[in-house]
Amino acid sequence: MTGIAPRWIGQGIAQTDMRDKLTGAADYVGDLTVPRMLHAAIVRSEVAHGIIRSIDTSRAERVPGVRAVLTGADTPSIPFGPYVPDWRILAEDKVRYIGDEIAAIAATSPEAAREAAALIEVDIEPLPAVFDPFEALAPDTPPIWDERPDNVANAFAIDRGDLEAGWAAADLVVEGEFTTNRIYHGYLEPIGVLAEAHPNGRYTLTVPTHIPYKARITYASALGIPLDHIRMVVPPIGGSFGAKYEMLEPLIVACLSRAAGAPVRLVYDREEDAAIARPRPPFHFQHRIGVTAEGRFVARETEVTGIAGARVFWSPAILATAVHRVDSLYHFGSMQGSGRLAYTNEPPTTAMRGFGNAEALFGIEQLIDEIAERLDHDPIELRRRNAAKAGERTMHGWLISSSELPACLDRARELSGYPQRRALVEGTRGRTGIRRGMGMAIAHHVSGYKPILKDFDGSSAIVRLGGDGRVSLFVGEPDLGQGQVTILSQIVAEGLGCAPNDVQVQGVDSAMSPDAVGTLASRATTMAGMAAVEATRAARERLTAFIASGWQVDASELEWDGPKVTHAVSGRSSTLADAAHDYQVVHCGLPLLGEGVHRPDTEDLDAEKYGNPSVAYPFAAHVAEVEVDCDTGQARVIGYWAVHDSGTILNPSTARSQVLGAIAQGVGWSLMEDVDIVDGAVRNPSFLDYRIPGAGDMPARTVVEFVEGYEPNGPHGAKSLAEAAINPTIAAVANAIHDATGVRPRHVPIAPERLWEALQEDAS
Amino acid sequence: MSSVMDPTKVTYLRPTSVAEAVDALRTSDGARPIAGGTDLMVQVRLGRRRPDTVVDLSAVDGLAELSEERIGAGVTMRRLLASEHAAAAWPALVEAARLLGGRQIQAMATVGGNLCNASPAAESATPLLVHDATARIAGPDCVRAVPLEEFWSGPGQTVLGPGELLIAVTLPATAGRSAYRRIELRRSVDIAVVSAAARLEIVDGAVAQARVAIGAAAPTPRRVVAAEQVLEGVAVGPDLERAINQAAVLAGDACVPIDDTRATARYRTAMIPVLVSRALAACVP
Amino acid sequence: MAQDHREQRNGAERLPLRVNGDDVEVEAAPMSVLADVLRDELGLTGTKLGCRAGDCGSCTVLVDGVAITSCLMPVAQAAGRDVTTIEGLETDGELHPVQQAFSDHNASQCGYCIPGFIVAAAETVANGEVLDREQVVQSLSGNLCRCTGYESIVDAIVDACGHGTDREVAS
Repeated sequence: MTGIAPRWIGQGIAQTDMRDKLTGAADYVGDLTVPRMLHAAIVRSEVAHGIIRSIDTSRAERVPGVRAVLTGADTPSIPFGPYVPDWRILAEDKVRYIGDEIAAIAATSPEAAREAAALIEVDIEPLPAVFDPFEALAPDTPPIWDERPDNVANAFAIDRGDLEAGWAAADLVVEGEFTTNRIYHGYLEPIGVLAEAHPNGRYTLTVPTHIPYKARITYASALGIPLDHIRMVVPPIGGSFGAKYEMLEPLIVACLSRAAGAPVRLVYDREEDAAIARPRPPFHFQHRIGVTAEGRFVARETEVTGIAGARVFWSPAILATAVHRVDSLYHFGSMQGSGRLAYTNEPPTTAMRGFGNAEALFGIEQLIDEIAERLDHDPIELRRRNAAKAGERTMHGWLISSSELPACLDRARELSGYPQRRALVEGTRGRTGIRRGMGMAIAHHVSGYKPILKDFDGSSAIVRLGGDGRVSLFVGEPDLGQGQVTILSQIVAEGLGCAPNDVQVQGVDSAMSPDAVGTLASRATTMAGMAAVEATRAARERLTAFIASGWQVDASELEWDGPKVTHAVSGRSSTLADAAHDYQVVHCGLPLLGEGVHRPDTEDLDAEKYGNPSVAYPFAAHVAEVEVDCDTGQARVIGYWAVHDSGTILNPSTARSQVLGAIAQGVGWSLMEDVDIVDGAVRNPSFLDYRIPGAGDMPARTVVEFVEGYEPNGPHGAKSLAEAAINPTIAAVANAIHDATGVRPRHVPIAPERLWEALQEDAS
Repeated sequence: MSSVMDPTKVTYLRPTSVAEAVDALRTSDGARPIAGGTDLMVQVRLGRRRPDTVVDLSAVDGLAELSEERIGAGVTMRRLLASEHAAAAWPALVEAARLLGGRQIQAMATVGGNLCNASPAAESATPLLVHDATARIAGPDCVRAVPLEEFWSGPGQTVLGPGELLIAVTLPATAGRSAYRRIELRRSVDIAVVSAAARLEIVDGAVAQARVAIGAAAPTPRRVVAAEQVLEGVAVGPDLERAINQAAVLAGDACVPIDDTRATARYRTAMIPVLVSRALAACVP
Repeated sequence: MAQDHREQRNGAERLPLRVNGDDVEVEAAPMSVLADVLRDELGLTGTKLGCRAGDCGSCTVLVDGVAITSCLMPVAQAAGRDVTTIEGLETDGELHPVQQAFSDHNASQCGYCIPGFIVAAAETVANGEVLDREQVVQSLSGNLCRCTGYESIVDAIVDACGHGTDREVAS
């Protein structure tokens, strides 16, 4: 295409799908009703570990309105699961956590379903339960799954370089233990599912999942049916952040629908949602870093212990990230890392934005500050010096195709005044009264990750130019509200010369959308975006060729200007809409289709886990300023500066919103959020006691800036953003609290009581 | 999981006078009044309270009256926040109203509901204690007055008998400043981890009357008389600073808090002196 | 004992409601939750349920012009009063100034909490108050959002308040 300035790329247009959300017209799964629809309720274990002796459903079956009652005996008995086949649709012989699914009801009203659920009598013989990962992994602890006598749900080990030489070269070794906690995703839309079992053995599952095709693989294997027997329909998603990847609920509801012979909908109340929430897995880190006197990192060791809970959702991939992703942010010279995930009698844990990377950085970025302090180096320069740079291949083989991290560091320093401003507040540091401090942290992330799906990486897209001139785009990566629909509309509009509002990005429906890896690992803009660029180009070329053949001219002589095409020599002209209409007429109704396939040149990891798994790596430098009330331990983030390299910013408005949202989640995580589990029971399953931050908890001043580089592997030079934005947050806040008080936060959240305790200890 | 209330199985009554309300409350031992509903609707949904009869007070005549010495049980937090008199006379109470729930809750939640829900953490409780509030209780036979500090008998429990209804609190004209402080874990919607209210009346440069009350630090909100006593008669200045420190320590001694998901008893006990001294300091002109 | 005043009611019955300017009758138990009645009986699913406990504000509606959480109000308390939901804010297909401001500021991501924010802000704007950022933040004490970090929402409401006064000044 021509080298003229882009019309839509880089424009901060409002989200093209926003109107329905502003007027209440957007129908989330809980807003959908279909004829004969029944309501579901689930009976859960109140015992953390035990043998099911008997289940009496007779009273429940007599409740008026009840149409189906299922127990494990009534559902397919096929072990399944995305990583480990330790899932069952309903518990069979044992329960393994408080909340484990034992039975399910479908009834004509939610009240009847719940009333019946309360009448199911389950006799459980309690078994000893284990809630501590180290205890779970100890030699004599009884297993939670007989298949894993050691309670190791997953293990990951990696080493690189000459570690012994690394330690020998180190003039300073810093080390420390750090723990990160369970974070509840806290999406405002509780989990819901609408399932319809069709008489021909097929199912339609309306599920707010952002990896519908990946989930379908799991669901089809659980039901023992071919993939194409399940139609996945993705409604608007009311937030997920990883929680709604692959859920168990669609299977339970599908079985209820099959048994009742009617569509069934399940929508959780907040309490149920939060009590069985599959939160971010908690990790314990033992980090060690060796550095020369000149400030060059030469060795790193890490040992990570995490909790999978009673069954394995996505925690193995998160563990792997926590162990080794940071080696592609910094060059550590040599490294050895190992990690284990313990089965415990607690709710399973799963993916959340940041995916182990933020967790690892919580400790690493604090240790790097400690190195700077002990070597008397500028913390920004120390980071710059050791960071992986554009054009380099890191020790695990990751290719940094673009990086503006050095410029991000410079801008973060300028904008925040760090560390000059830090020196200014120096006099205010201390352990009593009100104290202020500043802290910084950097981060990176991926833009897709090849090992997710064994069949393919990459993405495909279909542009459909209808006879009415309307443009549709089909991709398999659902929008979660992050603005992807808008960005894809901009990409298509840029290529076709129409306006973004003329482009309808269709919701994902496996009956018509291309198969896809899905929206995860910060991949959608990069991968679906590249596919959309290709599909748009294909559509434009096909249309141009069609017009050229109709006018009997050479296609290369046609010139497009926006939606108008002209042939200078003959003076003929047409429009996108008219040409599309002609195309459809000539092709007996077939709309003009443009197919786009994006095959990224990511690499399969070899036996040593070496290779480049992602096409592009985004970077971020964040600075936080905090105020600490040392008498109470209450900390507040009062200023925040975030500078990002996500390549070309396709839409500055939605990009900024991503960063601001991530900072809010980081503020919550660092200061107030924690799933409080005691003896396997969640004590705070509500928005009152599980505290996501409110407007009043956000800093009055947040500065977001983008250093725009060009990523050769992304659409129009763009790469990912969503997760890179949360990754530095908790470390930046922790470093700021250390700056303010001298207390080195070892655990998140740095909640008032915990910080107050630490201040007491340090004072004594 | 908890069973849910079936709303069709609850008898709903909507009296229009106090006499009718008292009458309605006597129809069943399982009758519960509802005002703003912000506590009861959640408790009923979660099965924590299972009333068979709900008596809606929102139409009861006179319950929402607000005057210089009387706060009707039906007065909402938002009414308090809008009242110039309340701001001038009961600053601790207005601050508590500002912190109770979010804005929508403040439009619904009533003083009477907050007191009768009898949470040890009830935001309006300690401010009303330091303003020497008296509970006015209508019953089948008469209206009785109970000093507010005797109104609660335990967490979630009041001295209200069958058919009795809190209709108002009355407050004597008090001089001096009052203040309310709490520990919260979030600045938006939250509930006090612990709280303290204080009031100091200063005449001729010395404390003529002192009040100190603590919340979420014992089974019920309570006054700390020992702390008040060390303050009374003390001259403003270094002596008062010392007395405030002493009062704070005495308030800490009066704590018998619980461990829960919000905080440990140890932290609550340690925070009470901090809050009491801050609330008292805010009362010194 | 006088029974006449008691209006003893249980089970489903017909209750008069005025919703978005229309007089309607709904069949509901008096203790049914207003939000459920709006959603299930009247199909007004723009009112979202995020917690059913008054903590998140997603279900905010106006009752006689006052923003309340409809998950905590028995429908009987709304009977005979003026209820405005998110669906009632548009006039003749034109967005309410608050909706327009949210659009202008891209103040939504997943959108689930947004109707609650908009209805709460509609009360603020209707009151004719001109609020600065800090006051707007305070006015949002009853609404939670997990996606946006609030900044664009606050900007939108500051903007909407400003427009409200501009019009008043102009008229």
